Amino acid sequence: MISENVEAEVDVKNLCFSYVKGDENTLSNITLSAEKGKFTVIMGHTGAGKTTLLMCLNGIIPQLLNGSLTGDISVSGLNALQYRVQTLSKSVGLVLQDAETQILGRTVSEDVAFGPRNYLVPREEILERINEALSRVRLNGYESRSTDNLSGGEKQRLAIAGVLAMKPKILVLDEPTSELDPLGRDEIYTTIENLSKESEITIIAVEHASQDILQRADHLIVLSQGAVSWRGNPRDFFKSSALVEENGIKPIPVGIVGNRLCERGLIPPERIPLSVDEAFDTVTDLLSGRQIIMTSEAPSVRPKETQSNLVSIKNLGHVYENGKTALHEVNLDVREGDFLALIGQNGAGKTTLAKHFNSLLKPTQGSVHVCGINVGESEPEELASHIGYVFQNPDHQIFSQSVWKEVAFGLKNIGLPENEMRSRIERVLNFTHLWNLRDEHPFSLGKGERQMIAVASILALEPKILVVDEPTTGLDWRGIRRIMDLIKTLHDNGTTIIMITHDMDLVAHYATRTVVMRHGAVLLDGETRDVLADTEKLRDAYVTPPQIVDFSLRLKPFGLNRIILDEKELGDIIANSVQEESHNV
Amino acid sequence: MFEEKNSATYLHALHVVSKLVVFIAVMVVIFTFSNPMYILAMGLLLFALILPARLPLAGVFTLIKSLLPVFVIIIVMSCFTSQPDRFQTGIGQHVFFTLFRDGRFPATVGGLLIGVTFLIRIVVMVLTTLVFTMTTPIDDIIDFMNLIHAPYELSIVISTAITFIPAMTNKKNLIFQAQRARGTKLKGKGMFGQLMAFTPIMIPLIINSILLAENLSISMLNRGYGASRAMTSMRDRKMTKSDYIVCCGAALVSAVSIYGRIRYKAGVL
Repeated sequence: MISENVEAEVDVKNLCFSYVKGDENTLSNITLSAEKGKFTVIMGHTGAGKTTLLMCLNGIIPQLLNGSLTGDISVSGLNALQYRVQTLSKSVGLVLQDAETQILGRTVSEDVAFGPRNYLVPREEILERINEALSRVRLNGYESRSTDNLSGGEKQRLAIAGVLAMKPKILVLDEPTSELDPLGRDEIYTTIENLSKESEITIIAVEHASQDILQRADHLIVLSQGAVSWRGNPRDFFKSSALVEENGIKPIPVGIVGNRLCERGLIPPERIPLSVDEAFDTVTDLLSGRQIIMTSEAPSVRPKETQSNLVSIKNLGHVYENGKTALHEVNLDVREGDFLALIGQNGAGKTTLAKHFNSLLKPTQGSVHVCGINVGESEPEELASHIGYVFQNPDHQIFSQSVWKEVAFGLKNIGLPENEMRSRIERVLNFTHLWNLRDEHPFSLGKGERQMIAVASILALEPKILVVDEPTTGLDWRGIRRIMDLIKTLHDNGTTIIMITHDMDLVAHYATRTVVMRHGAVLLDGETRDVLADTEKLRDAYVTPPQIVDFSLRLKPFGLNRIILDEKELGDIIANSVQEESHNV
Repeated sequence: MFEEKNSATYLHALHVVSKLVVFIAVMVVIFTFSNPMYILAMGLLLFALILPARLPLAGVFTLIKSLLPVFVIIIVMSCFTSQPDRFQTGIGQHVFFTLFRDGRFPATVGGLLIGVTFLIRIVVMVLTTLVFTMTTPIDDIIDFMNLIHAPYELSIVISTAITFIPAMTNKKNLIFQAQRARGTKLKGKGMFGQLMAFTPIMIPLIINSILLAENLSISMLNRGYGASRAMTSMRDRKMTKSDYIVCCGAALVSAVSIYGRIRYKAGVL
């Protein structure tokens, strides 16, 4: 575990850093150390200084990104302030968030070889390292493949392989799985855990996904406003709902159930479960052979069959120019009022399908109709007022000098009169809580706010359907809740939502209908709780159900006759059952 | 495994030196002649050689199409800013009309042709550079830089630039899609309108390219680029018979062009 001892592989003392133009310290008096072979996770809200801290460890800061740095950093016995990045990189392998910009070769093997070649590793050894690194990230067999043709998830795994091939003593990862599907995330973290145990590599990772790291990390450091706000065993942190909330970190779903039981005085805080197995044991003890008393089933939340189809897809197929078949025989209707989640592993065809909704891609087979318009014969600009599409990266669309102008842009495109335009902008800026920022330059704002601007500029067009592609990537828990609450309000107000996501907890909490894609086809389509309960088919699609569904299924023998998607509701059902039985006794 | 990709097309299979010789020959030809017909002939010959390789070049033509208004401005400017006495041939000196009655700003045939020459040169250069970067692994270029003992800084600049191309192309596509999805019309009225219509593309593209360049340089340092002045060579590529034939052909074309230009004033306006 992390301690401030002399055996540390990474030793940071009193580190303060501010970017050249920054008025305040991005990092304030950070002191930490990590022992050889241990796995440390750094968490914290957006802008807490996590990435800055990681870049200080291999000298990128302050050598490439200038600023004022004080304090001491020692990595693998080297003073990080005295050695070149290239020297430090031999010991400290840094994998950054954006996989796209870390790929430096035309083919997979060229890319993996890039690092070792710089250190003049003999050719035969490089070839061995390529095989080993690619096997570690499940990319073996991809050696000759062009890096241009890899999916987002494959690129992310390649970025890790490129660093693993350099055989670093310390592996530093900045949200290494942000674009991966649940199974992909699990594989990467299993790999990382094995590296830490088998090869004694010291791991330091920044991560937002609490569940992925909880059982694996030896130590947790929470940053807030550039300073360490908490450090210790991750389990201690996640058992305290107050700490988790205060630091803006995503809670563990079964931990929420446990906290509910704790609040009701049924279990002590130290017994709050953090895994499905622990939760199952806790509930088994509490029920002591009694059955769960179920409340009546909640009415179906899906729109009725009689509601009109806004999107109608018939036998849709799409073959890319390079000959790759991305979709085949897709049949799907999206009804007015649906909150539909499109899920599936990386490369399953989710985004390809969604891009047909607004004609960014044309069908190579079959047809797509949106609000009665044949998409194959229309252009995106003609469909913009019917269907809005919010992309993952807001920086691909923002270009205006103020938030107001950015939101106004789309409205000018559709030729709205000035009065109507003003009233729509005012309405949407108030709705998205951006009114006070209306005169700010979008690029002077944080990622969460820029994502909100991107959503606002689409909402101003008042589309009937809103497609959101991974709307929460790169956002912290507070940012995720903010954007998802906004989308939910839109849905409540009548907008049909189509959401592409890998976050199964979001699917469970927000989507009323879920479509699972596999190999370019629809594998499952139905009410969210039914789809998420079909674990066998989900496994076929390489999708892991959310923890709360897993737990619900485990409680079936106790009389839980339906899947509960809300953690607090499940906590209350269990607590009521226990207290009711105790009362009767 | 490193050899497999190089046999993808006959262009991939050529040695980097052969490709550089062809590249230089193309540049010699297009800058030796000022008559657009000669340069067009060179461009067509090049295109005929590239075509069987079936490289994905559709994007280049889309890009060129979108820049047509700029090209028209260049031709018009060239037409009015080239005086008749600048040309050696009668056709080049021929004046269509003058902008003012006193004879100022004559619109010359030579000026018009110079403008066209300039444009064809741009297209040929873009095409040649693109084909070179598409068919040459970055390793080959770095190996070549090592071979000629090029300065380390120059190697960094060239390899970053080449790495930048596919990443930037991907960004450009995403930006286009994001803007079109919110109803951006990429066609404006008139030449100025056309240029203005591209603002929503150009600004995110510039901002993203700056970020991309910074991220790429961080990534290269992360992977130890520049740790030593050389890199492990991953293959022993030698010049083949085909390479020698290509080099001789390119040298011959260059020599004939220069001779024809000097001896017979071929391709002069």
